[in-house]
Amino acid sequence: MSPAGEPGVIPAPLIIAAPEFPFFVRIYPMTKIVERKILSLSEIDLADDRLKITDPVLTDSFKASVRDVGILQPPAVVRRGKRWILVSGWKRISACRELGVTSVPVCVLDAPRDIQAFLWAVGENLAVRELSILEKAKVLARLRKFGLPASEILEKIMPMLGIPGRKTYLDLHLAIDRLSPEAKHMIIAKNLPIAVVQMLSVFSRRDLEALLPLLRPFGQNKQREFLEDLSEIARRRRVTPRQILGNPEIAAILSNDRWPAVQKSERVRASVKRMRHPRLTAWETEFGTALKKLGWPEDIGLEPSPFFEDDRMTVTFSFKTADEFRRRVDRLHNLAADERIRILWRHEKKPRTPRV
Amino acid sequence: MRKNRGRPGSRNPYRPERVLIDVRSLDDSLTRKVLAKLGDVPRDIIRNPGEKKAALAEIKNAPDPLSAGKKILWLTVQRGKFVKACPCTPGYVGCNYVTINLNLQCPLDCSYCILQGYLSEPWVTLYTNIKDLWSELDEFLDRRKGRYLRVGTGELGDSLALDHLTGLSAEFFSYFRRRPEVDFELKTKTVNIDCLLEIEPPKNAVVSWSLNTEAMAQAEESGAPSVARRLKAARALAARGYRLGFHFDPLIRHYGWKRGYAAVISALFKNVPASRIAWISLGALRFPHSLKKVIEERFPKTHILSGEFVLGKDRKLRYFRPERNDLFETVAWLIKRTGEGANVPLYLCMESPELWRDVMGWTPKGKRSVQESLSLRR
Repeated sequence: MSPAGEPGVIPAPLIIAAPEFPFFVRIYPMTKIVERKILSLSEIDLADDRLKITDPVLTDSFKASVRDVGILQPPAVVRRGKRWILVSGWKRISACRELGVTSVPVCVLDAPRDIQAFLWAVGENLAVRELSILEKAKVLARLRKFGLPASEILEKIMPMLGIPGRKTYLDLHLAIDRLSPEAKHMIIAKNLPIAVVQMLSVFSRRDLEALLPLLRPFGQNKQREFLEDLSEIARRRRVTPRQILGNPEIAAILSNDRWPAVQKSERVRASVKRMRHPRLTAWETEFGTALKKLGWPEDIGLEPSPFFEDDRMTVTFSFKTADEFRRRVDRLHNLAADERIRILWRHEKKPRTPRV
Repeated sequence: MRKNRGRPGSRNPYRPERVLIDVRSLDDSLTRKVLAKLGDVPRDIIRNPGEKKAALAEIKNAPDPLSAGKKILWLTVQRGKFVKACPCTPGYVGCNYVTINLNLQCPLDCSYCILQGYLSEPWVTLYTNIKDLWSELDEFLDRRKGRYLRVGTGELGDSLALDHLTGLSAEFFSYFRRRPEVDFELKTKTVNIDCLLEIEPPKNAVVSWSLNTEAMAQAEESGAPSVARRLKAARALAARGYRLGFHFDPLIRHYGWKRGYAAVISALFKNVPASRIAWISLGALRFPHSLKKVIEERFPKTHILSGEFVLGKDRKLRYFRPERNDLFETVAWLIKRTGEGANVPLYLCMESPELWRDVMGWTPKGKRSVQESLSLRR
């Protein structure tokens, strides 16, 4: 319903302004607005999304704005045969449809080639916001599809999108665009940083199918760690991540119906970690066993140096009273007097002759 | 077939495709010498920071800026210090080494090279204001007069890769002949030794080669000569009367590594009399996390990243301690078991006191004690 009370008619636009994009004007000087008109929504072929950059999320506040204020910036359209197709303004048009509006003001572009119109859409979006990783990936993939040479993409388009103009980054974004819808959904939902997205992009679709459910419960750091562990093991054993996840230990975890998804993910993560660091895991296990043998008290912490890199160890304990303090110190004193304490430094070893 | 054209160690030593000359370097005699040797190689004078930025941008936009940079020689002036105490790495034992940084980047292309992630400019840089170097060295060494020091080039670039263009080895030797308390070391993977063969070797000069297994040299040290050729060059210098050094750095765990290192060490002692070896160092593969991505991108087929790496005290990725221990212990044993090899001074590069104790049987009190242990054989 329009404020004027006439159903199906959008309020008169307050401003109709053509955006100016000097960069694109330089590349495609012929792209310009040739006409402003009112089009019936039924005349626009919304099924043709070849120039669409994003899938907009339509919010109530946006709809309210269109209803109450109108469309300040008319969507851009181009003629293709007998049809009009949308260049920009997908969200505005969606809002109009939901509001029951039947006609909208549009800018008609003179852009006989799709690439011209697409670049217009890119420019219009960039004028008001930064594009997401997925949108940037889509822009680059489309431009390649439209036939823009890689050199021009590297030199002119990527810097403008805020991406270093290097081939590796172009390849990365093209790989991101090829990701499955599920992977893309997770990238958006979890707001994944480029480093994690890059790691995902190297996995095959089939690998990702196996991986995504496991990754979903994790935060970014755990996701990164998990993916890195998997990649390392895959490299070392020359197998695919899916084959790693198919190993009996992990398969048993995944097939256990008693555990919720979070617990399964955590167990698989721990298992993968053990596979990546077999010797470190063995040392950690042995250290734990040594503590048990010594009867090390649970209320006194004992930490080896990170990754056992040196022989230093750290004892921690807390206390509230002088008696408590004395008790802890006495226990430590007894442990120090125990000859077996040396087992904590398992790596203190006798010289041996290496076998070659 | 490995691409060796235009690289040191091939039949044609390093010849850049283009030379860029900082306008401030134009009058330096080293600039004139290098340009004369390069003949018709295209050259451009860079007159201001804007031109330099544009030239750098051109390289950085290349699909692989590091490879593109290796084709360009940048002659410029050193405005900072040439001479620096080697910073070693936090948390590990140093050896009190002093480095001279006269050239940056390297025409060779080793997959593990730290310079890939360390230097901001991808081209091969040569500083031409060597008069400033001699005065800086005078000042540095005079302040430490009478103290034994090991000084060397080759930390940020190969010591001999450009020697056929610069002839600097001869100039360094002339300088260090007057500094007998200092051992001066040239470190290389090339066989660019023609200049050295023409010089009477100074007693305090050491020419060192970085060695690895032949498999690793072939797979991971692109553009470098085979280990056999390096050892042949070493033999020629030993016969000429030079003292030699060898650096098994980085030691890399790979399929058949024990047999591979045994073969190299055996070849080493067959080619070079142990009495001519000033020192041998051992260092295990280590790299900052940021370098890992560079290696993966530039060398997707490499296998050097598949070990069990953990984060060291210096935040670099290193083999987990027992894996390093195994590497060092094996290679040290291989060296010592070969008769005279037992008398060759051996040290670990950037390692923990615990590894020193377990492998070498003693723990250095500090970097000076490592240095002293290496001076015993002078």
